[in-house]
Amino acid sequence: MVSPFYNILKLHLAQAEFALEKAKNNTYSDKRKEEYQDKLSLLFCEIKKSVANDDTISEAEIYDQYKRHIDFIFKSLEFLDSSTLNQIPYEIVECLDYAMKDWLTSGNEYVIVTSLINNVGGFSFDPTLAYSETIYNEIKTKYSIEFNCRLVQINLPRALVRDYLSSVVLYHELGHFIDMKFKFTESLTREILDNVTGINTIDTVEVDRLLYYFPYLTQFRGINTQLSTTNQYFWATANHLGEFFCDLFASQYISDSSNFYLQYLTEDNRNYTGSHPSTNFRVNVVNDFLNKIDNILVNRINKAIASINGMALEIRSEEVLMDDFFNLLPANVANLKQLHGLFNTGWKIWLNEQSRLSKSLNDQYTAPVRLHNVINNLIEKSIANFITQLRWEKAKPKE
Amino acid sequence: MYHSHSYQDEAFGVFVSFLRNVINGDQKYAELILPIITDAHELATGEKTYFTINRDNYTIITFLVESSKDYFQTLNTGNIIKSDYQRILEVVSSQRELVFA
Amino acid sequence: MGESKTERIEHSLVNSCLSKSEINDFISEGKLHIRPLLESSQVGEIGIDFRLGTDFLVSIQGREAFINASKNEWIDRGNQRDIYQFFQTTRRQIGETFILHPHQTVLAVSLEYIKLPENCFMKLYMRSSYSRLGITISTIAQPGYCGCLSLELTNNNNNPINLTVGARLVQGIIYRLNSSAPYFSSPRKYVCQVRPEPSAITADSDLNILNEMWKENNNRK
Repeated sequence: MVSPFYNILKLHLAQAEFALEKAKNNTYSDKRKEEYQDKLSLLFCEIKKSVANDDTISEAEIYDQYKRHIDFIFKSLEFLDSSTLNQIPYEIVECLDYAMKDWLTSGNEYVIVTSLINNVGGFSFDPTLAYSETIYNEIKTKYSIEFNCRLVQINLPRALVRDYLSSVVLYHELGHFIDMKFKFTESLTREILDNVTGINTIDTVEVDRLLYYFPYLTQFRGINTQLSTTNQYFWATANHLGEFFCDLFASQYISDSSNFYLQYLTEDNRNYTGSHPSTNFRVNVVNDFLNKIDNILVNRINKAIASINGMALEIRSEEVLMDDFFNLLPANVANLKQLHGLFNTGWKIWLNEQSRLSKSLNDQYTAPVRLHNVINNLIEKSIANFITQLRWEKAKPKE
Repeated sequence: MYHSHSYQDEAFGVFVSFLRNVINGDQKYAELILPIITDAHELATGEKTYFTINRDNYTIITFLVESSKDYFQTLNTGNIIKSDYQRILEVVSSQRELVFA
Repeated sequence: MGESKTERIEHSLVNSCLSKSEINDFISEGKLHIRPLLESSQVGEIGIDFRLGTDFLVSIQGREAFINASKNEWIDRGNQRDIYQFFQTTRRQIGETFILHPHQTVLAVSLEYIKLPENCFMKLYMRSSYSRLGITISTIAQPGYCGCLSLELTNNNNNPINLTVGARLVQGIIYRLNSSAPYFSSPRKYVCQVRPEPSAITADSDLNILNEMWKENNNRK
């Protein structure tokens, strides 16, 4: 007689089969997603075959051999299902894709996929599939199935799927993925903690400057003992550095666009938590970076980046003049830097120039939703036109 | 918003599973584990730093070294035997409870 | 045959349609905007070719019995549903195709976002090659209009027709008026649209007056 666990494994398989059958109806514009889904079906067949010949398997073996792989199928489908052209916020994903390519210049191909969720504050990066090559290597070793690309999974609120102002936070979420791939801030955490504890000595003034941003570490100054990962302050520091990095990463592309929004959302600007630094600090660090003011965190993060992949945080956007928007026209975007710069232009208008935009509409619309709609439409069309023109020129026969 | 999910658990889950498979005699998994153990050894001996070890397996490598530095310093990565895998599994299993408690 | 009254009015207001060189002058002087203009050859002798855009609203039959294009609440028991409910959104990328089924109403937009001068309006016609397939269109863009052009497509052929997104589908002929008529001199229903928007017919204020008349006539006040 087979064990109940084996039958539950078969239930898990049946659920996966159902989900894959349903997903067969998905139409993807991007062929890579289609190929990825085909590989999932292949993987499923291999798992099913293997499970059928393995009815004496123990509970522990079920987890080690199969469950993780079926979970992998589900996790992939969760994002692929929401990434059909009808659902994906195509224009913003294209912008993120350009930003991602700045940082991932070699290695595997990554495809940004989205999952639309109901939580209106639910912008987040889900690293489940992209955190490591390990699972892909395992599948290749065990089943001889090689996936053509990796999925970069981003959650975003269904209600804000076409909101180009709040979408700027997705650049921050992309930062989490980049940081996770290269482990910039986790490596830096260890170095900074060693500096504070005195294991790795640096100038005392510099320690003071670091402690300004991590005040809770003052108690460990000069203790000459390593703070281990079991210490909550290790993770608090790592989390804070991660957030600082992501803010800086985003600001390369969107400038200070998310500063005000961040302050509005967090309400309490002064206090830090275990997961996030104080909003005031976050805003200060971004402003220092954008204004090229010497800042210890920017310096240390840049040093870490340089030693890991030879890159640096730099301003990768260009201002797009507001004139087109005031003329109720999509902007003529000249290059990738301006493409990212569009978001900042949209924010500047929303924050400071609503009355001027309203004048363009002869002050016929007082409801904020109309002005928001105009800004959204103009940003969307500016991005779409840039992409269209680029692809047209590429496909056009050369004279 | 502005949250990244914790991914350490998944990374450890996969690694523990690999170790169990090797211990049970599936040599395919040894190939997947070897680069991790080698990097852990090199980090422990100072041949590599936190900035130069493999980025994909960073979490596991640093965890192994910080949990059992002496062991990884002396480990002969050219000849890893079953008892080594068992020892590493013990390190991971016992120490993880502390980290994720 | 004599001129109708409408034609006489048109003649008194409308100067002429713009020629190729005038259109090009308007574009270079920033009086007429077309974004993107992928090929300069889109500007023809008497008009401009516009391309099929990427977004569509396809009419569907759902649980609602009919589209209420009136303000009459008696007929739908006051449960007037948004006209959006009768359409399904779908997107394509440029170069992909879209099947237009026989007798189905599909709302699309031009790939180009335009802004007309305040003294010009534009009539849209199906390009001859598509007219011959049985596709019809009826659209006019008001003076000063800004946005993608709304394309209300109907396939009168008995066979489905596969259209290419980005193909030159319609031709716009621009007529000059003797005076300016700013687009936002009154509140407009369609503002800077970049995706197809369903009819906003129930926003017509006349419908409220007509409904009041119906109530009066039928003792429903």
